[in-house]
Amino acid sequence: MEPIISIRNLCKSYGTKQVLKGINLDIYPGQIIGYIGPNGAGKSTTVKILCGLINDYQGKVTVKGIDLKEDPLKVKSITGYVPELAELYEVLTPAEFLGFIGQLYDMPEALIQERIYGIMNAFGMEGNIHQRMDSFSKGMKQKVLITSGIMHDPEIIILDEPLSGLDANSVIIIKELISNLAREGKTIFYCSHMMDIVEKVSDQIVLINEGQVIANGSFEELKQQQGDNSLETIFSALTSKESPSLKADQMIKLFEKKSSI
Amino acid sequence: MNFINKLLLRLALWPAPIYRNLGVNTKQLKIILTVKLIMDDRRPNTFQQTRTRNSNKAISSATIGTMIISGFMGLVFLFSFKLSNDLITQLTIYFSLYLVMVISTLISDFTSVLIDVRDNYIMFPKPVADKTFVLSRLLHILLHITKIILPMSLPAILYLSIFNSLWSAVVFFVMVILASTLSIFLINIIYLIILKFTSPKKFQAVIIYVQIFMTIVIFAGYQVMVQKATTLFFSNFSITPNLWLWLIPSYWFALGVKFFTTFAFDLSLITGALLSILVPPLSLWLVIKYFAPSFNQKLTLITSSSEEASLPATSHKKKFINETSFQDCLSKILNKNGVEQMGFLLTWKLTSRLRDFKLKVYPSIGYLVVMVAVSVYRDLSFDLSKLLTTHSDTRVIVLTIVYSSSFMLVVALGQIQFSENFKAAWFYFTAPVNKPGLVFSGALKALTFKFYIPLALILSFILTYLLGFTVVPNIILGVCNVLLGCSLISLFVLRNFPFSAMQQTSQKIGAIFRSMFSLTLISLLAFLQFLVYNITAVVVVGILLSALANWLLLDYIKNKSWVQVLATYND
Repeated sequence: MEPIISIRNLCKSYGTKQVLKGINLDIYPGQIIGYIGPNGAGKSTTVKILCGLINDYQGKVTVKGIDLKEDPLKVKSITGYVPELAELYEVLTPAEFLGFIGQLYDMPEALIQERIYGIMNAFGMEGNIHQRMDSFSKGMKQKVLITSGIMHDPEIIILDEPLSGLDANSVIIIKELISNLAREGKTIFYCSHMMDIVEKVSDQIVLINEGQVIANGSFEELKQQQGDNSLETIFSALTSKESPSLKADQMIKLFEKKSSI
Repeated sequence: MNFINKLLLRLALWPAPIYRNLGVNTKQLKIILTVKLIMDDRRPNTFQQTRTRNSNKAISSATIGTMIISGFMGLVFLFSFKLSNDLITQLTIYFSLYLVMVISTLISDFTSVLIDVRDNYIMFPKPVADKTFVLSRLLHILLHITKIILPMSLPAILYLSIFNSLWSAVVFFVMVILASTLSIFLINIIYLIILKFTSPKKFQAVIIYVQIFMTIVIFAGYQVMVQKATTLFFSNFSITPNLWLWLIPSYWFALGVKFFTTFAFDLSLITGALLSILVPPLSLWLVIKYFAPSFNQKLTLITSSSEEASLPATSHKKKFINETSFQDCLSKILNKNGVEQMGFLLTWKLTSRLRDFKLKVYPSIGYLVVMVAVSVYRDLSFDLSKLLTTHSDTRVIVLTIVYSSSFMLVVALGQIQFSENFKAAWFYFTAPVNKPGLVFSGALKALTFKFYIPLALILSFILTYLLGFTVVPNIILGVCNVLLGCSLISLFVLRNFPFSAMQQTSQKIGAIFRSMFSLTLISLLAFLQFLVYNITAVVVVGILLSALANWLLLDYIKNKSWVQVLATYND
């Protein structure tokens, strides 16, 4: 099978600081990729390149055989992106904002309306469709963002920490949604710090550290390589020089000193 | 969307076939512009930014508000036609006012409205071609500028077409457009200079200072105008051709209008006319060719740097452990209690860092300087020997200086409890603070030492130097009274913890009432001192009484209980 996303020797620097140092990755259709790594590892940069926010990179990125640099518009039209920070125009209402996004993807008006109401309903936000978003909670904004990322029925969905601020019921909806979308052949690129969720939803886990891929495989494969542990433990063993429990101990010692004085 | 925006949108999309030929997706262009115009309508406009943010009521037609205010400004500018009988003088003044106003309006809009960094996140991942995006941004800037310059220049256009000739109005309008083009260039230059000397991170902070500076310049401009008006009204005042005048672009535009209305072949007229029609297009070309690309890149840096660049951790650590800063020392000297020190330091630091506080309080510092400068300028005949001999004059001057210097402190007191980020104040309530009053007394001390004491010291030295040591008791009494007045004001005004409340328009009337009260209180104290000014013994007793009252009041504030504090929040 042809990979839907293929990344070859991807490098990116900010000034003198090299953030990505040659990433190589093949992603196949219908898969859920858990993309994980510590803060500053280059996760967000990879995501920004994939969805067209950054275009001055070195290396080759092809999506469905299309070079991202040659025809970015075609790639963008089959990609949906849910950014990490709630970046939306808060003075608009969800109906206005999502309508705007839908039109940018050249969706027919009736379809836009149908999808906005359908998805918002599923999220329990039917009463908020015509309210301005500046008064929304973080979770409500997140729901609007998720809607904006999936409403045009993209083949590739890039999710950057999509569950932040969501309540338990919405988390379940999203998790179910992700697996259902994958079953329908959509490819999902899932970036997160929540190891337990990545462990459960991902078909393939890619761990990057300091701009390089340091582990790539299914959770079962990672377990075989790194010992039968949780993803959290594997993650920490691969990316942290000092053991986290040692650091926690050091903190506790600080308090002990204080109380003995 | 209101009819003005609809009309503007239709005008902007009128050359759609041309756009399509350039490879722009006009359908997307239309929706992007529509959304941008809707958002403009819901944003508080520049003229309202330094004032109270209306947080409760949703803003819905800011465009019309902006246009009305611009139109009003334009009416005020008409005044320059009354200052002189000479067309060049009239227009030079007019264009100077116009340029300053347009630049100061647009300078903040450029970062907040016109080059919205969220666009990157929202628009770039969507299938929108670069050309479409760039054109939408250009057209948006153009529409935004039109909304400001059209109403602003309209009164002058009407004036010229009625009192001069229709042709002169046409020429004038062309010059207005050229002047606006030049203003965009000047804004770009200002931005580039700022970016040259600061990191993109600090950019937004610096822009605030530029804004504050501009507000002060405008205020000063109007002060000087009012001054001039009283002396020069209808007197045939005209500027004489001078070499330095050529440095002021508004002079070129004035010459340009004159030349194209009279076609008199005068060397300076022709030079001016040439400069006025050649420089703006050239500057625009420079902006598009050289400035815009690097500028856009730098602006993206403003957003990305905050995420990508890691902070140098070492310098921070050092600061915490070894260095004790000036404010730390001051805090330890002035406050005995830890909670009070916290109130002091928090207020001291946040007053120099919070954007909304700075925007509201710092211009008042500038106003004060301008007021002093203008009044000194007015009394240029201000004779020192006269000041020393006639006693009632001295009284008034000393008291005015000592009491009016509290202006900044009073403004700061009124603003200290408000912040856009008021939710961050949760820690006051979760920390086991026994006497919440100590936070208030600490904050009051910080404000006093930051916004009043340095100024009071400088003024006292100057006054003592000019008038001799006999004035010292009166200065001390004045300062004591100002402090007393401010403590009293804080008792009534400062009811929330520093930076812990949202400013609402509904409180505006209360705010006006409070500032009236503050003004009356301070004036009353000044008046009392005026009565006893010459009786030194009474002044000395007054100092003692005032100091005692200060001490008691501060003690009262310190002992403010949770019950009293929470009563405010529960309201």
